[in-house]
Amino acid sequence: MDYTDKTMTLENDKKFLVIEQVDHKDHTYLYLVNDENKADTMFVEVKDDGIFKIDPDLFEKEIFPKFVEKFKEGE
Amino acid sequence: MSKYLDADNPVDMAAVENNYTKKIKDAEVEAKERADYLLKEIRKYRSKSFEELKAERMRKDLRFGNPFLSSEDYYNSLSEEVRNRIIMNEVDDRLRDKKIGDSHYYNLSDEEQEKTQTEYFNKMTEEQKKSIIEKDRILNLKSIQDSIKEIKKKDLLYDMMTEEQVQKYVELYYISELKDLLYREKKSAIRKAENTLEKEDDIIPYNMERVATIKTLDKDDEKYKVAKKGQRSEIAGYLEHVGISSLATGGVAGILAGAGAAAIGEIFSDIMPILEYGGATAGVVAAAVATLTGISSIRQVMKDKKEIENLKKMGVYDQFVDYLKANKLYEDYEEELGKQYLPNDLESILEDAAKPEQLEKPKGVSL
Repeated sequence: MDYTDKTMTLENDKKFLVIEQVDHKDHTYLYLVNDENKADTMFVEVKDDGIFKIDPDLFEKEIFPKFVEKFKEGE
Repeated sequence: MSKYLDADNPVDMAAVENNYTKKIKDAEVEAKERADYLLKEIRKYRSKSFEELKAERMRKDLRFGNPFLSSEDYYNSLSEEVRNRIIMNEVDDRLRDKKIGDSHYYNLSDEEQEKTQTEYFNKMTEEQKKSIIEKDRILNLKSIQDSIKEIKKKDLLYDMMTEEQVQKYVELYYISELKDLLYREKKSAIRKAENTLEKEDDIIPYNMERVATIKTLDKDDEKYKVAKKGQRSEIAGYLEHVGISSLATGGVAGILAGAGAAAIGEIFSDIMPILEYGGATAGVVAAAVATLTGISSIRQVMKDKKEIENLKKMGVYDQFVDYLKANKLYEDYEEELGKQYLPNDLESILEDAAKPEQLEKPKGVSL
């Protein structure tokens, strides 16, 4: 599923905009920005009805470089 | 207690222990109550004759009609209200598996079910209704006969027992009930643990922890689509520049998050004052300051020699300093500056010297 540019409301009623999405090995990772406070951002994995923290090691080695690639696509 | 039980965590283990102890106590209380009831029943059986027990039971069972009467007499002995209730129960049973229109009977609302029952009832002949009452009589008769047999059996059994045997019987009954309750508890605990493991297997390829549940996922909203590729490329530039080593401490790094927020600063400039610096460089400056946790992350940047050098290389160091001054942070930064540019080895020597184990070393001991 493509989450990019969609908004998601979380259980605490905070609304986040999906800035970028990376699909990697059957998992989907998102970069989110809080609609109310743009400094509140996060990289997460999305599954079914929830978002999850990403293992830091996995994030650094595999996921983050993918995000960089995605961000660079617009150049 | 933490969200997931940790065998190495004494608080978690104490909670498990307490929980286990409580469950055993609860089971003991319940088994005792059951054994007490049994003893009370045995006493009652031993104190009364079979005829008395039977009469007592009959009085209870015959409250809703005497099935020992003939069919006709039984029918007439019941009030119309009771008869209708018996028939309606039977009608409800008969309709249970039926399809009514496009829906099944059990899917209808209470009102619709009642309406359907009444329609069915009204279509029945008197003979059909009488046959339902007769069926009810026979079932009642059988039930009473079964209970009388049961009374007789128990009466014989309890009467034959000595007082010692009664005590032993109740004691064994208590142990058997307790074992049964604990066995069920154990089975339930095992099932719960298995479910948890299954769920964890489903979710966790990387020991992930849920951050939040998504309540709604909105449709594409045009106003957000300004976060386009051009702006995202600013994020990429900054991310590459600072390198990813700063991310090692967590999946959501403050600086990186700031970079993201900054790159879309053009959209959200009303939120972050720092973004007023504008232009392409705004992303980089804001990257240092517009962070997940705000001021605390700015302080991280201030303390990080490498970050400061990055800002200088990118030509936005002056804006960063301006930002610190505007936000009354510059004094702290000056203090940090003194520490930052010490020679590497001297810095580590000072750090080592400040470690408690060094300070507490006994005098006169040579290594």
